[in-house]
Amino acid sequence: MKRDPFDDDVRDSRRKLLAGLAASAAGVMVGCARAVAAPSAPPVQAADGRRRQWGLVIDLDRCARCAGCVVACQQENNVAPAGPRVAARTRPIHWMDFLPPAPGSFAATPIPCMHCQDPPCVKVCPVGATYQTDEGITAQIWDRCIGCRYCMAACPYARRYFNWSEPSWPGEDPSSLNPDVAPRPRGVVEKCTLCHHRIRAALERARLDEEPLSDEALRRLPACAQSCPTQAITFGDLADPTSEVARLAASPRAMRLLPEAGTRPKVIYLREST
Amino acid sequence: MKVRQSLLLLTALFTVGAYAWVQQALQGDVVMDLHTIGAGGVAWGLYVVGDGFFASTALAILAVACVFRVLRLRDMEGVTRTALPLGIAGLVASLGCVMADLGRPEAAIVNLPLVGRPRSPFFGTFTVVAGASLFASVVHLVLTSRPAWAQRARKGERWSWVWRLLACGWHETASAKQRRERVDFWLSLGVLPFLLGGLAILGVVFGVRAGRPTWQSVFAVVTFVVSGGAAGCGLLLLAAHACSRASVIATRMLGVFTGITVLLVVTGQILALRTPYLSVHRYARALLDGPWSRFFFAELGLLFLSGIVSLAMAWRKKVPLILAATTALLVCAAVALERFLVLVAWQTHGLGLSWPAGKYNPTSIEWSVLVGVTAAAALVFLFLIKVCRTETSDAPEPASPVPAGRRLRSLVTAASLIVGLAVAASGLALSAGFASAPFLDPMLPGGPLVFLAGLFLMGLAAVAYELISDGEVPGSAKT
Repeated sequence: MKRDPFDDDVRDSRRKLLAGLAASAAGVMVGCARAVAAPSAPPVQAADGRRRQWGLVIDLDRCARCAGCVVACQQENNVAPAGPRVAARTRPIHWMDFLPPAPGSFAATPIPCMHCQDPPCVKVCPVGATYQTDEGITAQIWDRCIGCRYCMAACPYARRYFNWSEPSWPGEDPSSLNPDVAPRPRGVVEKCTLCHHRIRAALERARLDEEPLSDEALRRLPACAQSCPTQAITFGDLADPTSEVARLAASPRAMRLLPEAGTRPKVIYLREST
Repeated sequence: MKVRQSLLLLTALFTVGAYAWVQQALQGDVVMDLHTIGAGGVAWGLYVVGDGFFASTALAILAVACVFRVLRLRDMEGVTRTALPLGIAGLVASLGCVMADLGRPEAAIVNLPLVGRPRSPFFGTFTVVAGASLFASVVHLVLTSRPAWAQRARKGERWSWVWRLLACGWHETASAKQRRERVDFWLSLGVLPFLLGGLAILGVVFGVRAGRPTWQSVFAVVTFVVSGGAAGCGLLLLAAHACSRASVIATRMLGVFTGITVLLVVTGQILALRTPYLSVHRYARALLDGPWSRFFFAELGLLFLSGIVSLAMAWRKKVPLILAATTALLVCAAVALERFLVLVAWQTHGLGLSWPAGKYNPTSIEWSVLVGVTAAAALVFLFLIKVCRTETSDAPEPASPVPAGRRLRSLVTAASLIVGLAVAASGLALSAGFASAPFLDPMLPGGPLVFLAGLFLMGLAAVAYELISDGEVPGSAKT
């Protein structure tokens, strides 16, 4: 049977169209992939022209594993204690917790949120409920969170907590709570904020006193650092080379958790000396 | 079982699921067996597994049907006709699973369209999967069903005013039929990238994790997509059993997809065992001889069995209904297990730090909600099949004047496409928050809503093309 040349033309044009569409789709996909994989937006400069990068150094040699930091953090940030029902289901919330000793090691490691420079939790949050502040803190807007828990699944350090039930405090006395920190409702994810409210207050005090915020005033600013009896936890500006925290971070004992994850944590550990 | 009994059973199951959901809403998410990752539990469980399974299967079904339409495979017409209700029901089920999983679903309904961020893969799941794909499928189903609705209206069936309303503008003319075919082709072609994109986005949600090596993430994504194709083909096989040629093609496709899935799963496992990454190694051991080994080997066995059965059916060129149903069930169970393992087992055993290994046993509430969502999807499917059933008839429609012309049609269609594209692009740009604070808000609140509106407007171009006629006198159909 003789082939109709018109049919061939139609077939050819359709093939060309399909090939063109496929090539365009591939181009768009590559473009999108590049956009998604693009590095984070450049950090915003602080008021004094220097970019602050808050960080924490935890000296494992000094740490007595007393869990004072855990308790102080709970008190300061209105973290609800686990009631019998929550505890029975092993769902207590500890912004500062202890990582069980790794095989071959004897001591547990205090572990807050790592406040990564390239935080996976921020990338996956669908509504911008978790974001990175200009000063490098991975913060959370409780009210915006939709409770999808994608950030929990994405965090390689498992440092995020979900409110599985309505939080409650013994005696239900609201006056016992810290007025500077809003309690989180049921159905949202929460995490360590590096005591952001204390940093804000310190900055505001310094502004009113018209004096620069000294490194000494910063070192024990977060509740965990303030409560540590052995001063194992030091807070400060990692971008300021003269700060104590930057000096400690440059120590040969300094290490970060899971460097292979590529998250560049701003919580730095000082190894135990052997 | 009779239809009425099936409906009663499904309604009862749906009621059980709804009751469980109410319990969850009243008591909090504490009624689930989900925990904090690292404290011996998983944060994503049965609901997310259900979402991944239903959405990927639905998208695969719709994508395969679109390919059949683009290639104009007349033999597969019965399959493509069933694929739309099946796909829509699957997407509805996946939406139900997501809503059940969210801690604050009411906040999600407000915040996602207002401040959704394109950087998150979740953005793609709610815009591309739940928004564009579902909308386009509904549009496609409505347009495909109009001739049947017109026929029902003519016959004076019960609810004839509804059929008349739904089929308004349809005339049994040659040009109308030609337009119908063109819309079928172009809509299928236009929707295909969204379906495949949605499948890939879901694969990223399931497969990509910080701390997991790139090759393993890629493997997980590809396995997710291919196994979704296997589950989709399994259900299409069930839909195609009435047509021998279509069912043979479906069995071949199922055999190929299951074969590739088995290959990917086994290769991924071998590579994982040889990797220096501690977390990946722990995960692989948990699947091989750990707490998840029964699930892993069950998944492999089911995949293998369904692949063998489907290839045997393809070779014999006979597809008995009971065998088709069994194969569909086996492959769906295998794919659901695959979703479960890639999601849950990674959370329990794939952690990089020395947290204790977790465990997960879904509670009766979780099972009930999942069963309820599945029953709801089945009810949606039966409803759509009932409402959109196609009947063939040669009876010409009585003549009536048709006001619009070709120029108007082209104009409206082109305008809808161009404006839709522009609106979608602007919405995406606004959602991306260019020039706004990093990681925070879209440039304009509601950017994602604008993006969605643009996608919907593009979908409506097909409606405009089909609804605005040439001005041809009805009743002059040549076929």
